[in-house]
Amino acid sequence: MNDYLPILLMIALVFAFVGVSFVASGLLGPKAPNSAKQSPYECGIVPEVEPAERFPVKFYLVAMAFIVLDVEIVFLYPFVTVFRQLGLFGLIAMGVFVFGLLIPFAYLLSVGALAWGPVQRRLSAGIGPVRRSAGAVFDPAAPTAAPEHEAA
Amino acid sequence: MNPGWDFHAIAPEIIISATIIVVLIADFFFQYRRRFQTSQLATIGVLAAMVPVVTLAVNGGTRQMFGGAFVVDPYSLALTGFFLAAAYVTLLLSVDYIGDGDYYQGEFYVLLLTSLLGMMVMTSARDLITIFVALETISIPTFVLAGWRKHDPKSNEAAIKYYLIGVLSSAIMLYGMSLVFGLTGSTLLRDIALAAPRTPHTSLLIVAVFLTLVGFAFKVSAVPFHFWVPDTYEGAPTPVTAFLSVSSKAGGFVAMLSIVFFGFFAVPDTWQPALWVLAAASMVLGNLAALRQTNIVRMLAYSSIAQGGFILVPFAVAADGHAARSSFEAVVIYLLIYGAMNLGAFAVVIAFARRTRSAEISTYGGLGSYAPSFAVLMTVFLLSLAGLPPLAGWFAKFVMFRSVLDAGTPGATVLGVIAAVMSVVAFFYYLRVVREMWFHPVPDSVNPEPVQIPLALNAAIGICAAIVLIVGIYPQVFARIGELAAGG
Repeated sequence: MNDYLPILLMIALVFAFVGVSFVASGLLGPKAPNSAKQSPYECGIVPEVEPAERFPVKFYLVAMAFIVLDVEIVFLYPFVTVFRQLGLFGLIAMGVFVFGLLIPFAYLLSVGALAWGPVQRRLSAGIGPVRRSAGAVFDPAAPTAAPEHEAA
Repeated sequence: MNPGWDFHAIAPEIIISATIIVVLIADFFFQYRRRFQTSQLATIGVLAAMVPVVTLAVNGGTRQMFGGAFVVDPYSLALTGFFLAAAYVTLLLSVDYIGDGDYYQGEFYVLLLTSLLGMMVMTSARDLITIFVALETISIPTFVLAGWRKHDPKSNEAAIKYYLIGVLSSAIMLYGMSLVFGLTGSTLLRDIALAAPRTPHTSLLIVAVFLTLVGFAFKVSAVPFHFWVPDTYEGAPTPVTAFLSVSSKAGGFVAMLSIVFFGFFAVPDTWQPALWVLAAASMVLGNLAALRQTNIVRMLAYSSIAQGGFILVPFAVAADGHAARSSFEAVVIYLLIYGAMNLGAFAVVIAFARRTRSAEISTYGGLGSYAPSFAVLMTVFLLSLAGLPPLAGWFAKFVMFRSVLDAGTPGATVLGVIAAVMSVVAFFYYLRVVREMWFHPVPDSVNPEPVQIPLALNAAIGICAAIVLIVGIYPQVFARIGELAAGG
């Protein structure tokens, strides 16, 4: 049990550091507030718009598509350095891997994640939306939450 | 050149990976009305993956790959079989729930199977990095699954809480693992087992092991790292809750088993006191909090915390006396039995919710009078969770107490007494539901008209009930699996 002392000590140190930092900055720091210092991002540039603006969720999809490419590069690069030693086995293995990475792209296309702007509008006017968004299912935890569900 | 791949040994994982890709591709091409066929593809994949598990088990022996980071032995096969069976039952539970919900079906099964793949890799992982990757493969799809009812704020809350806690626990665990690597110079559990007793920095090793275990304690929802559990279980779709409380939790326990028994068994001072506290706190708080619940899903959430505490008991006594072997067996056997009875209880809750759209315990009143078969099955599952013979739960408790007796130290005895007292407390809240079903009148809000219960749901309940009854009367089945897993 004695050996657990370092853990307790560490926890105590963490809290002490936080506490001391707060108290020290409150006591020692000079206080001369002005409007520039109190802006959310104190970087000298006057903010043009309010920060709480909605922005398209598509940015997240782009980020995820980027990760797929990122993973591909991370594994292709070391593969190239041992390409000759691995021979045909390595080629087949990487073929399977790259094929596996193609599927997320097919998926992104199928949900319309890459069809932006007017293209998407024309597509959905032509063949209808690719996917339906969800209604509600019955919820055993909240009996009143799903009035429109009738199928069960 | 084939760099040491044993395709037979990783055949189950390959089959599940291929199924994931096939289901996702099939989902592009199926018409909306035929989307339910993705569930059939997923089920075929899960059943097909059981074939190589059986052939590997028949062949016997131990197969190693990737420099000892991936090992296929009876222990990993027993638990891979368990995860496949649990995933099969979860698929049966999900088919009609997801199908009725007008929800993305293909994606649901893809995510479920991806999580299953992580569990299967986890059983074979003998390396800290492999364990970490497997744990993340288990967790990340379940974050999305927990928020599946995306127009319900409760489901959003469940997903966000689970996600934040999951990321936090991963960060803590990685911190611990990096310290372990720094102290022992290896991520292979085999090498860590050799290096750990020789390290001069015992205090730092304790910090390292403690932080690693805290990460898994979040995963297995041990008190005091449990506070996300009731909200997440309540808000997630009920089949996903069943999956989280059985498969995902067992995944965390498998990781703990590997790390404790294959990595740090020679230095019990680093993990035994921490696990003792976790086990005692989980049993006490889980059982006492379950007493006060009025919603059956929340009650089962606290019950699963308490059951997690019972599973932690063999861990906490493993290095005492001659309990090493019996405690390993106890954890494996308890996991198998817990899976069957908990999935069964959730299956009845889902079937009941089709009738009443409610999970309040008070709406279970009079179930015995208008749906006696369901009431009987629910009684079976709840009494089994309570540990009443001749249902499977008693054997799980029996092997747990056997490991405590094998340990025989004062600490183990105290933990055994806590476990015994809390087993009695557990009877109160399990029996409260039973009393509600059999001795209370039907509440006005419930319509006792019979409701068509889908075949898949009935099959799931039947499978779980069969296992609970057969293992309860003839426990040698699972005892043998436990012996094999512990090494013959």
